[in-house]
Amino acid sequence: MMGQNKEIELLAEKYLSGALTEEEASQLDKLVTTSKVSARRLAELMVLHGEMAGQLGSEYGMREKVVSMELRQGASGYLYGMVAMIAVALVLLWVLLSQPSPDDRLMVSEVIASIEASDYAVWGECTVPTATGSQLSTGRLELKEGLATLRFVSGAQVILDGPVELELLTAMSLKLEEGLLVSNIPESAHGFTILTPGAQVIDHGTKFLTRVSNGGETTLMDVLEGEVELVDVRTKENRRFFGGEGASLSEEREGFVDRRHQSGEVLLTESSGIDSQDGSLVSISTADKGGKDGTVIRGDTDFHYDPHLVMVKNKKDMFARKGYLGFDCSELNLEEAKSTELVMNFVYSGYGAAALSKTSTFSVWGIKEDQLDDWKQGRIPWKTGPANVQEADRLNPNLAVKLGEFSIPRGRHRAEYRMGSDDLLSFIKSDSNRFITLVVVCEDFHAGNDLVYSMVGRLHPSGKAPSLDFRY
Amino acid sequence: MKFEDNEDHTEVFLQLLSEHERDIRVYVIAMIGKVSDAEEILQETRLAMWKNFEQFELGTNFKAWGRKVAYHRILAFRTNRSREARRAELSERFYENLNEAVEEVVEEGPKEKKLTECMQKLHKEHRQIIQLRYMEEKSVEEVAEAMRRTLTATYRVISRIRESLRKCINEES
Repeated sequence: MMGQNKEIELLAEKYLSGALTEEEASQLDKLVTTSKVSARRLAELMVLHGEMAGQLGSEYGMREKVVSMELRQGASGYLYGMVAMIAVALVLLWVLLSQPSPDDRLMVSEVIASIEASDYAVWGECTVPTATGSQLSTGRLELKEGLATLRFVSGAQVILDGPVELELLTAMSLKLEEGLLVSNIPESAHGFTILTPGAQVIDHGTKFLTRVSNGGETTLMDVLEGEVELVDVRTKENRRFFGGEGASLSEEREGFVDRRHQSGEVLLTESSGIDSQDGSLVSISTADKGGKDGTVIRGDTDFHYDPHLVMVKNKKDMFARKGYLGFDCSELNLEEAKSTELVMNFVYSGYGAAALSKTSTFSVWGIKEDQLDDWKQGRIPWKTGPANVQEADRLNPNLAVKLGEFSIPRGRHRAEYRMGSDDLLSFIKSDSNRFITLVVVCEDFHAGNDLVYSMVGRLHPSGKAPSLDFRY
Repeated sequence: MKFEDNEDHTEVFLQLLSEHERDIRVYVIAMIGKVSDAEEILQETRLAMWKNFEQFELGTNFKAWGRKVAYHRILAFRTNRSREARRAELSERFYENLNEAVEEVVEEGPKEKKLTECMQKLHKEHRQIIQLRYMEEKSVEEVAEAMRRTLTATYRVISRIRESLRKCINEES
C-alpha cells in the first residue's frame, strides 16, 4: 500500500504536467480504475493542484478574458455597460480581498521561544535568528553541528543535538524533520507536542528523546522519565510509554516497534524502517576479512584517483568511474536474515566542485557470475572490471542485475547513504559462493568539473568502510 | 427558468458564476492537470453555461451543473489532445472514476486557508520550488534547470512537497 501511494504521487505529477509515458499512463489507468482508494488519492492531489493554481497563479488575466468573452456574445449596449460594471466590481473585490501579495502568502511571524544556550553550534539554513538569547517566531532552524537549547514561552525546554532540522510551530509544538531532540517538559507545558513526518509525540510530564531519520521515514522515541504518548499518523493508533520504554515507527513497517533501554543507555543508530533491538544487527564491511573495494576509471589513470576512496562519476569520456564493493559473507547465516541495507559513507573527494553538481541518482548492481568475483583491491582496469561496459551509467545486464537506487541531493555529498531492497536481499541469499560483489554507478550525466562522488573505502584511515547491515 | 428581462438573466448568471467560479475552476484544473489547458476548457465551459443558462433550474446546485457542463468538454479535449500530440491515452473509465472522486473532494469544501497555513510550514527550498511552479508558472523542466536538479529528481521532490501538503491539510481538517 505504501509503495502504491508513492507510485501514484509521482504519476500524479506526470499526469498534471502532461508528461505521462504510455507505460505510466497504463499504470495510472489501472490504479484508478481498479482501486477507489487510489482514485481518491489521485483526486486529493489533483484538487490540491487546482487549489494551488487558484491561490498562487495569475487569475487576474483569466477573469479579464471571461468578461471580454461574455461581452462578445452580442450583448446590447445597456447590457454591455452593466456586465462591465459588475465585472469590474468583481475583479476589484477579488483583487482587494482575496489576493494577498506573494510574500504574504508564504511568510509568517510571532514570538514563541528563545535560544537559551548553545555549545559549539554551527547553524545552517534558518529563517529565525540564531544568536544566544534570540527571540524566535514561527520558522525553521537547521543546526548542523553542536548543541542548542530552546526555551518555549510555555516553559518547555528542547535541546537540539545537531544535525537537526525543525520547524517552530507554536509555544506548545514543533515539527522535527530530521535529527535528535531531548525534551524536558515542566508541568506548565504538559501536552507539548513534537510532530514528525510519521508520528505525533505528546508529552504527559516528562523527559524524552525524539529522533527522526532517513529523510523523515523513521521516528524513534525513548522516555527517560515520566510519560509520553506516541501517535502513528497513518493509522491514528496511539500508545503511552513510561520511563525506560520507547518505540519506533517507520514507513517500511506497520505499527509500533517496542524499544527498551533499562540499562540506561539508548541506542540511536537505527537503520531505515527497521527495529534496532540488541542482537538483531549483523554488519559486514569491505574492511572485514575477505572483503575488498575498488574503482574502475575510464582511461586507466591514477590521475585524480585516491586508493582510500571508492569513486563514482558518470562521464562520457575519460575519468568515468564506477565503484566496486566486495563482501565475504561465507560466515554469515544469510537464510535467517530478514532485511539488508548497503551502507555507504560519502565524503568530499577533493576532485570536482559540488557547487557545479546537481542532485544525482545512483544505482546499485549485483554481479551474477561467481567467477567474476575475482577482482583486485584498488584501481581495477576498465576492461577487466567485472561486467563493465563502455557506458558509465550501467553494467552488462547479462552479467549483472540492478538491485536498487538512491539519490544524493545537491549539497549533501558528505553523508551516510543507505540502500535496502528486497531484490538486494534475494540476490545475496541466492549467491552460491557467498562472496557478494556490488557495483555503484551514477545514472545522471556529469560535466567535467562536477563533483567526483566518493565513499570511504577499506583503506581509509578513519572512516567507516562500506558495509552490508543484516537484520534478523 | 423564466426571467423578467435580459438584465435579470445576466445579473443572476454573473452572481452565480462569481459565487461558484472558483470551485468550478479548481475542478477543471484537477481534472485536466495543465493550467493553460484548463483555462481553454473554462473559457468554453463559461460560454456553454451562459448559452444554456435557460436550462438551469434556479435553486439547484449551480456548481454541480457547471461541473457537468465542463466534464463533457474535458473528455472531448482529452481525446483530441491525445490524438493530436500522440499522447498516452487514459480510458473513459479512468475519467469517470477520477471525476467521481474529484467531485467528492471538491464538495468537501475549499481548503484555501489550510493550504496557506501548510505552505508556510514548507522548507525554504520547497517554497521556492512551489513559487517557480505556480507563481512564475514554470514547467517542471524549467524548475529542474533553475534548481540545478535532474528532471527525475524534480518530479520526485514536487510530488513529495504535494504529498506533504496533502497530509498537512488532512491532518488539520
